[in-house]
Amino acid sequence: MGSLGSEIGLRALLASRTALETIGHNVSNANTDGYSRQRIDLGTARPQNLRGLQLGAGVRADSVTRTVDELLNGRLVKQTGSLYRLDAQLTEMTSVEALLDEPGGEGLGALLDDMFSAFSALSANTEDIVYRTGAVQGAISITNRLHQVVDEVDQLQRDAQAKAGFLASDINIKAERILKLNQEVSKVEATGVPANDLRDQRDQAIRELAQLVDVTVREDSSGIVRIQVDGQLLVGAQSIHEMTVEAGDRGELTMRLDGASRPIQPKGGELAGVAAFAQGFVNDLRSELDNYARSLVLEFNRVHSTGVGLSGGFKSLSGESSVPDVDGDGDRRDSLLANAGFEFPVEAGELFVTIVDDASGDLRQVKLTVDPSRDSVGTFLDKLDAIPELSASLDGFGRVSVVSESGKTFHFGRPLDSRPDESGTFGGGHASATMPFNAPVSLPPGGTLQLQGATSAFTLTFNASSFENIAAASAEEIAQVINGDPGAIANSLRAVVVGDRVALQTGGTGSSETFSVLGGTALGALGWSAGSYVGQDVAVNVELSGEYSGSVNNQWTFEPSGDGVIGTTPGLSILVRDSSGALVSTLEVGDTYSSGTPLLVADGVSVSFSGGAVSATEGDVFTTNVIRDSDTSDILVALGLNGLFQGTDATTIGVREAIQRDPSLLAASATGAVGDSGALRDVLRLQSSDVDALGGSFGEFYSTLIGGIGFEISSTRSAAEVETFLVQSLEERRQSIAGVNVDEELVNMVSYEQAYNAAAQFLQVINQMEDEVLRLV
Amino acid sequence: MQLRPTQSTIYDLVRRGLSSNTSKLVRAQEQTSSGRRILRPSDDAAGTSVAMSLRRQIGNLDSFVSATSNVRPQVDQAAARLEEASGLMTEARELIIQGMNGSLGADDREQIAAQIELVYGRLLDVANSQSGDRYLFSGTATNTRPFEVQNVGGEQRVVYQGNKDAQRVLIGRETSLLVSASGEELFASYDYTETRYGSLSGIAGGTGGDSGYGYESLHIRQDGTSGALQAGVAFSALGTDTVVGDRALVVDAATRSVQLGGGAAFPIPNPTTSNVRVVDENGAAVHFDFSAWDGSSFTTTVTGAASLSLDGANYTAVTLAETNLQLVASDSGNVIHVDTTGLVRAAREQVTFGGTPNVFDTLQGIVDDLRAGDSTGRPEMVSRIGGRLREFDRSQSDLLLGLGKLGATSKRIQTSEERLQNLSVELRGLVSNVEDADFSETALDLTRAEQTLQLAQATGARIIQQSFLNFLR
Repeated sequence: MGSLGSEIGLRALLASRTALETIGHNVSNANTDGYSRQRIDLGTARPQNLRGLQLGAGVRADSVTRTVDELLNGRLVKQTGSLYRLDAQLTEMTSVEALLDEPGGEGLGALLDDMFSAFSALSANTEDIVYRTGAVQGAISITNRLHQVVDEVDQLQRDAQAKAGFLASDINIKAERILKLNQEVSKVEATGVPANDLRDQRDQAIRELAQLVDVTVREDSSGIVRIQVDGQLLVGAQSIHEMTVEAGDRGELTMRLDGASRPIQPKGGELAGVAAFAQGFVNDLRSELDNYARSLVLEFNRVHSTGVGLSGGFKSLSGESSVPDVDGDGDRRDSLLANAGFEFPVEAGELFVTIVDDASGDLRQVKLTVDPSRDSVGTFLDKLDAIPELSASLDGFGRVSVVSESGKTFHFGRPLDSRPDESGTFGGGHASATMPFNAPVSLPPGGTLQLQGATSAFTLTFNASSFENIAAASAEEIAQVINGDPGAIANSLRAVVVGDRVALQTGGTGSSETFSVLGGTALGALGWSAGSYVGQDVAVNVELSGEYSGSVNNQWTFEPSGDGVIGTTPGLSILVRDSSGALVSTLEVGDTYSSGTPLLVADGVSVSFSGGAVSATEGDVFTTNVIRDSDTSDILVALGLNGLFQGTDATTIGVREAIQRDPSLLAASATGAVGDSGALRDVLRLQSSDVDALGGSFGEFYSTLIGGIGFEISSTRSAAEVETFLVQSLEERRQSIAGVNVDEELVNMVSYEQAYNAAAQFLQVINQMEDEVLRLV
Repeated sequence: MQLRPTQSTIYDLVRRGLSSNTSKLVRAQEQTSSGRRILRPSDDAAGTSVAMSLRRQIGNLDSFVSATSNVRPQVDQAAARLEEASGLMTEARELIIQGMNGSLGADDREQIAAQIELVYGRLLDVANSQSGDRYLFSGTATNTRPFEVQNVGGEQRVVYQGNKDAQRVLIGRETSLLVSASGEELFASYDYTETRYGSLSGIAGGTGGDSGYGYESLHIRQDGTSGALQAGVAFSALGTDTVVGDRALVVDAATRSVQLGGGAAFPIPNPTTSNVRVVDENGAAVHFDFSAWDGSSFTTTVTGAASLSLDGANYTAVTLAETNLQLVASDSGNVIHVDTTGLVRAAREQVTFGGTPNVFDTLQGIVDDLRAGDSTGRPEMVSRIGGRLREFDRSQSDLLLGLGKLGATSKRIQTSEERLQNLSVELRGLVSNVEDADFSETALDLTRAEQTLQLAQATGARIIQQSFLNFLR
């Protein structure tokens, strides 16, 4: 009997002591990360049957368990992954945001406006080298800023890649730790005792791993967890599969687990955030910046290439871009312009080349048609080369080089030819007969033309061999035949081309000059009427002025309505037609016109005529090009001729070095006149005009870009806030289950302390009882 | 489920409260000290877009302002120079009026001519004035000196070297403003009238179109007088006849006078002389030899033949029936067409081509006229200067017109600049609305954040002090 009492007392002492020790463990780990509160499970000891009674045998400590909600832990692991992904993304993106320095800072937006402002100031002072330097500096600042942004973004990308590497080794360390804990847990639990603290440590390691990468955790019956990343095993029962990260050139990150062939794509955790930043965000931003830079190059060069610098036209000009040898046969000239591998495509269009005579200032405009699907690099160069004053070739690097003969300069501007009737086919002093319609004309092969010149009568023959296609003879071809004819040379008769018509005229001027068209089988096709033509002493002077404001290039043909004297013949008018034959304007130059008064033709261009006789019968005519864009083919941009920028993207963009060295090369003028600011005004229009590739103006594109980044960051931030809140509340719930409340522990401690004291007291009572009995003995 | 509070929940709560309140305070502080509500795009993505679009508009306006503010000094300078020119021209006009006084002596005229020459020089300086390196009045050829003295057809003339274009600046996307006037318009404006002739000889313009620039002298040479003279009267070779065409000649013995056409009756000297000059109503003269006159009266017709030349070298004989005779100056290439039917006497007529010569040539012409006064004859000199004065007046009004245009341009620049700046200010206000912090609001935010933080600190301190331990003793 006595032994039972002692037994009960001893058990009570032991149980309370164990409970107090557990409390002590709890209190000491109140602040340990991942620690789960442990609880002692007390039960009654096996009762004993004594004296026909079943007597309670006291207390017994069954086990020490940790209070944990495995389901909650699982959710926490999952949510932690999303939170850390968002957080990592946010951190990286905010550094991009900082380097863009917007809004209101000295970012690209402000620099672009500054550049336009400098160009605008230059438009008011085109000759001033200080303003020129300012404009060039403005352009340089833009390119520098682009380089800087791209460099920094690239650096961030490389940093992110490096970070992914660190994260992977961190993941491997965590995985190793989990593997070790797995083994310890299973060893302990094989003895049937729950490995509370080890499990806590493992749970904590898994949670830390989930911060790095999203994981799927499965625990088997022996207490071993297997961890998968994106469906592949990272931590197995016996070993881990190490994660490796390979970084590519453009931010690519290839993550693999040892032994698996398929790369993994983590969807959560810091690693996923860093990867999304390096592979997605940065590349998107870069391609937007590249697009922006490329459009800057294209649009500015489009305008700039057709402008003229301070010192007028060029003596020689070299392209910035090399023509690649696409087919690799060693000949760069043989590929079609459409697939010659240019960075900027060549469109079907026309290019006007203006040749200026240095001494007289006279200019000549040559129109080249460019068809990228038919013209090769070579044929285009041949066309340029065919202009008598120019020679064009490819240099050793495959760059186009154009050189003018001495005494001439050339440019690609759009001056209005103030004296459009240089050959004098419109009331000029020469005796002249002009075709009344445009070539091409169908000449009979071997057709003849009989003419009577000053010295002799002669017959011209149009052989089919002189024409590419005699049934569609061009004005140039006809003129070439006539000018090559010995009869014509002997009689100093010549053919000049006016627009698409051929004018036959005498070499000299004045009323003594005369020739006759006698007949011939080709006469009908050429449209000259038979008869004699006489020159005049007073030539009509035609002068054009103004700036063409129309939207497309055109060629205007001026013809008199009948025969008469300008300023004298009542009802005489000049009909102006465009290249499609539509009437642009009818100019009254009859008796109400005082000669020399400028008459507005259309679109800002005026013409004035001096008094004199004009004749519709003789086919008097002159033409003039009115040009809005002297290079609709963009071939100058493609070849890098006379551009403002060079390069093709945000990394390579730069102000053309020649212009950096010599700002006077900056093209301000569209006509070649120093005070003209036509090219600058076109540049300034770019400030607010839409650019196809950007879906808006430069400024709009940029603000959309910045706004987009801001929006992305702020939405990521709010998503992260939501996640934080979720994780926090889960953490709170975990804490509420597994956390240690010191007060609670103290209460328990007091309770167990009292139980311990009571048990001690009980033992003493039992002891005294035994003593009493012994004394009886 | 009732959440069971634990130590770390409490500490976390306090920590979180403190940190979130601190960051609120920091943010409020950031806004207050920078004065801006949007410090980075993510603070307000939509606001950033709006602010950037407004900034872009400001940028657009600023670049227009940058053009106008840079061009305005030039326009004002040009206007100032033109005002100077206008003053010079007024001065010149007074001198010309003085010079037209037919009673002036050669010295006085020389003095006036010298003074006009001075004005001419100063006017040429003005027309060639520069702003920095740019010529103000040469159109867009601003590196070209606009007015150069050149030898044209053997004469010193001022020739315009610039072009007719005007410099433009953009003051709106599609609006450009002409900010310069070409020198031609100001000083050499073509005023396309017909070719004009002096009024001495009765010659007139023909129907054909003329071609020429400036002035020419039309030489009308008398090539001899013929007629059936009677009563011993003969033509005298001692004087130069100037009559052209047919005139009635009446020798009246009763009054002993001789009368040519509608002119005054001249007395026949007694004794008779070999050189009697008879002048008709047009001032055309014929010289007769009366020394062998038999004293009887007679009536006949005398005819003066003539030939014309524009260059004084190549003469064309005329029948006085030509309505459109073409004359070409071999030296200058100028061409005129004349109507000879009204021709009555020989003379050197001044031909003024359509398209006035520039103001410099006009002044030079007046100087030349003044210096050649005696040889030309005073009435002709006065008539010539009178003609040139009309041209000069036209030049003056061209200049005033140009001045007015420049003034208007300057005004327009000023108003558009003001408009652009007002717009810009307005837009800046809008940007500020979007981007900038409202100070009363941020100040309030700041105070609120401060108070909340203090509250959080106070409550936190209270909570974490509480422990059962304090009472276990």
